[in-house]
Amino acid sequence: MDASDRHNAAQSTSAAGAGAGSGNGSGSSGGRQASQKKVEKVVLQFLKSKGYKDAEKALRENARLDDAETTLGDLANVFPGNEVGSDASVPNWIMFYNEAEEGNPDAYSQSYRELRRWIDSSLDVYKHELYAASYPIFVHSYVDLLMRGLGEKAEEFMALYSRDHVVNHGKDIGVLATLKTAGHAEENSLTRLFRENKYGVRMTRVGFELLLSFLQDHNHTLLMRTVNQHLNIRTVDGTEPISSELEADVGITGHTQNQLDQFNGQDVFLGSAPMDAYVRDEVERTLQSEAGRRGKDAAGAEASALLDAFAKVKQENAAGAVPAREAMPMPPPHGAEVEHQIASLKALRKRIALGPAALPSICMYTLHNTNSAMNCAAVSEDLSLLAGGFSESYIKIWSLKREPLRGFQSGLAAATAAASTEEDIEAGREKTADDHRKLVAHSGPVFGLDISYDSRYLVSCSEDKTARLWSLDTYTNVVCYKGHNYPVWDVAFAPQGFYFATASHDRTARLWSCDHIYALRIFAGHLSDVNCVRFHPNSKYVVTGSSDKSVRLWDVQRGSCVRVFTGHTGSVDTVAISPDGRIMASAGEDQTVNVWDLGSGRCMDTLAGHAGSVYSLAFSQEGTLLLSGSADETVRAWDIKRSSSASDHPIIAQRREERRQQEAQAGAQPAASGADASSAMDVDNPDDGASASGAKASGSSAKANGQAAAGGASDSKKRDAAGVWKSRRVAESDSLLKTWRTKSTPVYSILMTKRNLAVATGAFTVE
Amino acid sequence: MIYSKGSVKNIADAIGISKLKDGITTAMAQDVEYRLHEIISEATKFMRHSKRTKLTVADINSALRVRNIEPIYGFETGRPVKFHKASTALEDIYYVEDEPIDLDTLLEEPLPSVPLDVVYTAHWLAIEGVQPKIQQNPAPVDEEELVNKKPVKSQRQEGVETIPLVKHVLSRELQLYFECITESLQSPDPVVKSTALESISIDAGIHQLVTYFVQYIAVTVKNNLHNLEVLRTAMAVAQAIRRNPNLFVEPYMHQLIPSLLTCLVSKRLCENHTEDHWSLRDGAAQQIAEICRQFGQSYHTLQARIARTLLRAFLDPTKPLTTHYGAIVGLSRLGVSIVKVLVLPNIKAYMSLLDAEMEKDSPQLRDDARHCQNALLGSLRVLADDSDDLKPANLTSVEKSKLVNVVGETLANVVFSEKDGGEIIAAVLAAAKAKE
Repeated sequence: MDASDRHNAAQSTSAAGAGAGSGNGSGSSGGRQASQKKVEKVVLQFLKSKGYKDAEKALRENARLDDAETTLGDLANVFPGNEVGSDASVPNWIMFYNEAEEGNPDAYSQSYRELRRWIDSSLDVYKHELYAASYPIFVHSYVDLLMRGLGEKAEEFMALYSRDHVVNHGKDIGVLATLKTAGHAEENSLTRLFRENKYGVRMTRVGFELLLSFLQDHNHTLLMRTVNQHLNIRTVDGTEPISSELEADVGITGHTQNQLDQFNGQDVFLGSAPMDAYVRDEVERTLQSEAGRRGKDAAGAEASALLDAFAKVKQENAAGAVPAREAMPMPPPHGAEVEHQIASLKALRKRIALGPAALPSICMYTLHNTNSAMNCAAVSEDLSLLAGGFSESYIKIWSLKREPLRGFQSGLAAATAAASTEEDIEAGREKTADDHRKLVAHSGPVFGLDISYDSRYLVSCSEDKTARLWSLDTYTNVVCYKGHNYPVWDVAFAPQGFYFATASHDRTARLWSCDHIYALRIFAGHLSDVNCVRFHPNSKYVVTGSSDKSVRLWDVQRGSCVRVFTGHTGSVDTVAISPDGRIMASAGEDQTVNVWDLGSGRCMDTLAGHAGSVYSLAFSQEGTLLLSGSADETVRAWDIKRSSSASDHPIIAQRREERRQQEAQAGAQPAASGADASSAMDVDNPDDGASASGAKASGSSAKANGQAAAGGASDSKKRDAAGVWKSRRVAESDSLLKTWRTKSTPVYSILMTKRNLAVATGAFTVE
Repeated sequence: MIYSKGSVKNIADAIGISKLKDGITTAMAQDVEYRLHEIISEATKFMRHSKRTKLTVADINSALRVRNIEPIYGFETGRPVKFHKASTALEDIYYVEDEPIDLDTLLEEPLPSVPLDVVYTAHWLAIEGVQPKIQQNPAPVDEEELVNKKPVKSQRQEGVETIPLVKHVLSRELQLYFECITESLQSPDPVVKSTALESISIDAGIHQLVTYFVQYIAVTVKNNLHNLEVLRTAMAVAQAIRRNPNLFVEPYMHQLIPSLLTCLVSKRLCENHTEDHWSLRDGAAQQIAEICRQFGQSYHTLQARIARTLLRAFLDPTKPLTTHYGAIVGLSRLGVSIVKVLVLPNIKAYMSLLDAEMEKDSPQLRDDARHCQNALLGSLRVLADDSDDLKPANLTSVEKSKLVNVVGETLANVVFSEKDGGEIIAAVLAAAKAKE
């Protein structure tokens, strides 16, 4: 510390006093110096209390401090902590050392009780966020008590106050209540999570100021310390109060709020995957030749109709497609893909438009005599196969057309099979076979399986830490993929096959391709088990749901997380993405379904109504309807209000706006003077839609278009919502359109075919 | 605290560590409990991924394996473990039934049948949103029913069988005694039966059995409505219980009275109409009257309630005459004031009904009607017995016309032909006058 610093410090004592008195810590230079001075005083106090006399003396001499006591309230006032958008938690002070509180084992209980009473009596508009903030305070107080060896006090504390949080955090409370000693608190995964990560809370600026001043005024330094060390409060600006506790409760994501916003502000390309040129030409050629050969009869007419439909599909595809360099590399296409494309075109023509007024037909496959041993089920997209994974380590497949499933005779060598013609292969097949088969290879319960789009492969995962690929030509295990170190919970094929993803107990999801025995990507970041995984329709992303109550969107190429969705109160067991790739639904243990807008990362709707864990979700092909199957033995249909989906993340909107302004400035156009960001957006409003569509046609602004493609179409609507968290939450959801009950059959899986026929699968349970 | 210090001590003893410090057992118990919780929460993950709602032994073993702990072998079963509940004085204990298996019989048994193969069926859960009413779909139910149904189901799901508490409390001796007594009561030998009854009426140590006897009476009466002999026995048992000075029957009266009332006013109490069910009714009436007298002090509404019940039976012309008889007898036994207030004002109207029955060409009906008439006469006699100080009236036509005004012609004639007719007339007329 040099002479001028000291000089400043001595000089600004009075200035600091004035700053503290006005209660306005607006970072002026005087205030900053004052705070430094006060910190020195606190350090001095600390040294004194610890008996470090030499150090104390040295500091005293260097800093020329007098012995006047500094209160923490003065100190707190000096720190600006509540600027919008900043991480508003107070800087990490060396200490909030209050000896009276430190020595008193009841201090936590007393402080917390007062906090509770204060929240109860506070204004209703701020209650939700304050309650949300009180939960991490509660947890940390409890853990602190345990850590200090006050097990009985901790138990008392838990018994007294756990009621407040049981509704939203019942499971965590259950785990916390089992902790008995400091040792448990140190090693328990949940407490470690709380200790090592900051707990995110979303608060309005006023709410946060209220909380802070309450803690200061009443000298609750213990709680203050918790808020400082373990909370990550993000103040949101806006006139709209936070309308529910869940909205305010972000929870532990492993990121600070600012990071989280950065995260959810990353660009995503949600358009469809580009169509392979070979497939496109081949489909066209086939259809044209069909139409030409058959001439004027019915089949010919159908072929030409299909050709029209294909032209439309091509156009749509080209409009929203992901740039080719971003897309997933695929193996060279083959004939099956062309056939598949034509089949889905036919299905498209037969599709029944669904909506709130037109509910789907549901075909239910019920499995009997499973004895509660069936863990998962899947139906192939062409409705030819049904597969079930069992606790007894085997997979059973049934032909839904009741045709025999003929494998190859055991004598047939692979080499001869490769060399022979179609007829030879047919001759090599078994002469007779049942319409069901068992696939045996796993050495533990099979927890997940998926059938590829062309029904030629099946991939399964198991408690034995492996995933296995099965050929549905030969009904044999082709590859065993080892890599996970813990049981694998779920597996999913990419929409075009070839790639698949697994989700595991080891807190990672992994990406595999069928031809590699090791994982291509490891998606690490979840804080607990990854329970489910699904591919985005354009294969560029995967979505995972986890026991840490969050859902994440991962970029497959980069292997990084691009979106985090928080809001569930229990572990997430299933996710689904709409066929157009814009919205995602997740559900699980907390019996509610959350619908998310992938682009903005916002919760669009919370669908409550199920009375048991939700096992599966499926969107209709238009994405206007969501079906959910649950342990409560029902299938439910929900209305998805698409209008609210056309919005973008505020940061993306802001960034785009900045870019536009820069471009405008580069074009030597004087920017509107004195206009802030939001009003500038309004100014630009009228010609916005025109520029977006114009950019698409003209090649000149292709660069900007590439980056703005994700939100291009929704530009005109998003502005209404920009900057405001406008998620709708309903207690008893009125989006529920219909409930269909089954006879004692929990619904394990739901599939929506291209024709909008729903297929549900479940195992009949006898008690 | 699920896992107590005591358990730790016991286990330590079992493996040969006898002296364990208190602090150690406490710490141990806490830690064991925490570890159990950990394992169980891990196991629930496996349960959820198996899409079950019941935890199985296999789940626990999977959890142990994930934590790199040797699983516990030998407990895995295909089906969920069924717990039995036993209530003790301090707490409820849950245990798994562990029956010894005789290897010889096991080996001799035929092999168990092969479990049924897993099969699938297909049906339409919904056709364009409408659930078809087919066998595979559940019948449509109201929301209320669903709510009512659920709790029952969840109870069943718990897989806990509850053994009632009392079975443990009742000693073996008392059970034997009760069995012996009930058997003797059914014996045709009157000596055996009377011995049993006497035992009930004087034994001191059978208080715990009172509720069983009351139950026995209720069940016997309910199941043997037409068996006069059994009903008589049941009434005798009731009498015996009440007479036993060592028993405190007051709390059981509300259970006993319905049986007595059944024996009093039931439509038919015998197989054959010629049997003497009248005396059974008389006995029941007597018992009810005694109960009213005994407990009327502590339960003020008791007599009023019984009287109201009987009066309703008496005044209902659709009821058979046997019921009427029971009601009249019952009312007359309840005392003079009841007769004055409830019976006397209704006699005349009732007699016209009875006259109509007498006219009918059925010997049985006529017989029943005569009994009713006698019962009414008896009730009038109750009045006469009460008013000894009145001078017997002269049997003149003036008196008779007065009497006819009150009780009707037929009954008046009967009264006139009675020996003590004078006293009855005087009492009846006095009561009627007081009423006016």
